[in-house]
Amino acid sequence: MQRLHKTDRHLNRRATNRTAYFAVFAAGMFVSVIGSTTAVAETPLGLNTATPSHMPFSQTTPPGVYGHMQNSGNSAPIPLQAVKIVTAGEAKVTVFGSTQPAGLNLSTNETFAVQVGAVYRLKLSDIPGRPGVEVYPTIELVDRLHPPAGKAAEFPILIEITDEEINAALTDRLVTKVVYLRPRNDTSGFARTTVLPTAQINSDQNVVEAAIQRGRPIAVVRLGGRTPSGPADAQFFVGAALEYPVQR
Amino acid sequence: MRFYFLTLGTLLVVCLGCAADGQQLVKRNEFVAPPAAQLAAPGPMVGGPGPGVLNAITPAGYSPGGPGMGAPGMGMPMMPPGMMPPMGPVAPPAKSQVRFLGPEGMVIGWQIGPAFAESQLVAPGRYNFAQGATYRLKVNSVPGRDGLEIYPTLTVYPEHPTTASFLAHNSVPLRITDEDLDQVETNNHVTKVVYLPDPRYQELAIAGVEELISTELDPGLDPVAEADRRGTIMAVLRIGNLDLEMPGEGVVQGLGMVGEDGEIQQVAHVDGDAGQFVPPVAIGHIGVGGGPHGVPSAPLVAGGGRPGMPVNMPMYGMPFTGTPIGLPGPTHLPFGRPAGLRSHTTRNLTNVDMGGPVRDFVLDVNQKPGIRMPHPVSHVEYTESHPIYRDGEVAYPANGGYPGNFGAPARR
Repeated sequence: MQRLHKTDRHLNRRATNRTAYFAVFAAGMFVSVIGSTTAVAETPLGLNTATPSHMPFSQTTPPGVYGHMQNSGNSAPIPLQAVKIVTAGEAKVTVFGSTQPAGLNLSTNETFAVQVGAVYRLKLSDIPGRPGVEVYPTIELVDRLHPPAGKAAEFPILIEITDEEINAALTDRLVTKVVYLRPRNDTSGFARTTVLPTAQINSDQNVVEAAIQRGRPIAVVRLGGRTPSGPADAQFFVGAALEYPVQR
Repeated sequence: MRFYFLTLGTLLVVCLGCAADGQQLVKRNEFVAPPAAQLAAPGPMVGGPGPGVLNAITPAGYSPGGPGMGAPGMGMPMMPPGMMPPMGPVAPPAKSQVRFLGPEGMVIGWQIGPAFAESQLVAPGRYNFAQGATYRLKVNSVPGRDGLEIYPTLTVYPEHPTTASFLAHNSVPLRITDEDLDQVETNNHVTKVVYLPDPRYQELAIAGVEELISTELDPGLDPVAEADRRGTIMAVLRIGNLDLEMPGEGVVQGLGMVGEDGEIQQVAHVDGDAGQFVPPVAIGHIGVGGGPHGVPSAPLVAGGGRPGMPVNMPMYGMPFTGTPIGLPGPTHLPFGRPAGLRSHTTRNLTNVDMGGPVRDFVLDVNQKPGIRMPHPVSHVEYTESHPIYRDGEVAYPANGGYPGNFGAPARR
């Protein structure tokens, strides 16, 4: 048995203390790293759990607020964007606007142009397989495409109204859909069973935020079962300037 | 040793502070927004657009309007001729569409002032009721219940930012079931609340309304309070078996006149079967003298009215009659025998122990979980990468790629 020299004991004690201090420090670093990366529990609409940012728009945002904020502070002329309504089979589309207060009667194969940032009321009628059924969706453009010069009519935004959505609207449910532009390098596969790939999310998730995470939102479509009280229902038939046929 | 401990402790504190982003240690990514009505205001603690605010959103969440609404000097952006600015947010529908689902064949009328308009609607049918008001309905001709006439009240709640989108696109469904009628006929009061549940309480991915019925809740539970806890109320239907059109009695006596047979006849009789349709007249309004939910705003409570607007209600405590009893009329004169009373003394011998007045009153208000919003961004790093194209690979827009450069020839 060898007795440690006083200096050796002192050095051993110092080594032991230093080890303890580093252990405490490492534990503190570990806790801080874990605390900064731990996912937060589900939060109400408006909070992105993936990135700590606040999304002020969601499916509960009143119609027009999102589009209005997109245009606010923009001194450039309000652009027009070509739109085409797509349904299963050809139906009749009536678009209401300030320049067409009585409604512009078109079919689902025709392209028209509307202003970005405004809300437009549409009427879908003569839907194949649904005689006498009329639905009144609204479209709200929040962004636009940038097609080549003179070819705006060839690059419309496709807004599809499916049978499932019409069924939901007729049962007094509100369908809110965000049309977004996927990035070119997006290789995520959607089952192309419809004209536009569609992803349905839960009601406690923010549909606008989900669209932003997937691409660039272009339009918000809302569809419900409300009908106008009459042809002079100014608060129901909203809309701004229209252009048909699309000339730019 | 002490130096080691101090250094390590300092490093530990710095690392924790950096990880917590300088805001808080525990709840990093949790934000609690103030009420939606406060968020809809354009500025902090401002109940309306201020000067110089372009296309401001009104407290209700909607812009003042479309073209031509900008005041001179407000600096509206110049638009090319023919290009009108968009209408902005959709104006809130001042009416909620109520859809009476059944029983099918049920005839619905409503009170129009002192009388009832009969047969205005047949279920299934829908009608747009003005928001923020209560209406007295008259329901009869219920299939299978001959002679049943009930007078429910329908309260249509004002629009809320969370229900604005729904009410602009959907109707509020209402159905009177057989169970409801059975309850009413057995002298029970039925309250049906139609509300839009919060997203976390939504059962389906597509938003839809839900209904709470008082007879299906536990005793003592208020269906209105319960629905308000779960979501946003849109309409409340209250049904009882009170007969409001008993001859000569009841609420509705009408502008009657005595006919030849001595019975009181109503002057105005509106019957939908004869093609006469009259809008309903509200019997009450929500939020009279105050906000949309009945909470009076501070200026109105003080009697001062809104800034720049005349006072339209008398201030509490100010005398407005010449009599000491509050009723209009001449000053009170003594009746009966000549006056001989010289003094009339009332002595209060009541033992009163109310304690002294409160000198300093403190009210601590602690709103939980409080309000916490993300801090304003002070630094933004924006990096934009563009692809590089050689000549002949792209087509330039007509304005040469420069905003406002209209008329420039296109070039490739």
